[in-house]
Amino acid sequence: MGGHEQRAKIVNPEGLHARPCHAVVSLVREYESVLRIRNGATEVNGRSILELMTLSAACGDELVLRAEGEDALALLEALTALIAAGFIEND
Amino acid sequence: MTFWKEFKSKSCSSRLKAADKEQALAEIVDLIVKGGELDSSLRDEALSALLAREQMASTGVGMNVAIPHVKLKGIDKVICSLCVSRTGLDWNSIDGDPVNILFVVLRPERATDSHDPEEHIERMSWIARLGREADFRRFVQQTNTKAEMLGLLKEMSAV
Repeated sequence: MGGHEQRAKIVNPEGLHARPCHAVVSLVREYESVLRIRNGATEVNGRSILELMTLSAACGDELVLRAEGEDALALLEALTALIAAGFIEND
Repeated sequence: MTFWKEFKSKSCSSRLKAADKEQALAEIVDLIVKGGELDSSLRDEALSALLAREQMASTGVGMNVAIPHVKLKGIDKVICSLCVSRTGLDWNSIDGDPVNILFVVLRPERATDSHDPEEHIERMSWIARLGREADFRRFVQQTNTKAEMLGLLKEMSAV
């Protein structure tokens, strides 16, 4: 146990809008770990869509992901892959 | 933040009558048309777009809040609506809870003289900041008139 941190750059043109936030939280809910996500000076609970939407994260912004819990590493691996894939958006 | 100015009274409701998601979106689109913000010729397209968006992923973001939002051809400025359902609506929300508070946003497909697409993320972020505030959620459900709802939006717009 203990915290783990990864960084991930937003690559999809529309940034972290509502649908990617939903995709993030849907993924995170498969894990037990606590997740905090920071964009610049703003840090939020990564398990809340509303909180994530307040980050105003745009394409090119680098998010700092911090997870704590038994499955923290697995969570971060899955989440960074999702972000790198542009949240698998089709538009 | 002046996004509160984009919410016009005639497009909002403090007491939706709808009993389910589909009825709610239809009721809200009809309000927007009746209020003069959306041409009636775009009514069906707007409703289809909102329903299709829900199929992709529920806009029920938790805490009894939903934020249905779509791009729409044929409009040249953003149209926003705030509505309250007293009874609560099954929205297949991320947390499984019913939705009582709905922010609906229709935005142009492209930049226009009245619309800057780059404002979309900021607008949605502003809406999210309101939605996550327990005080806002409590107060907006206690309002009795559209004027009170919009007054609350203006008052809390600096969250």
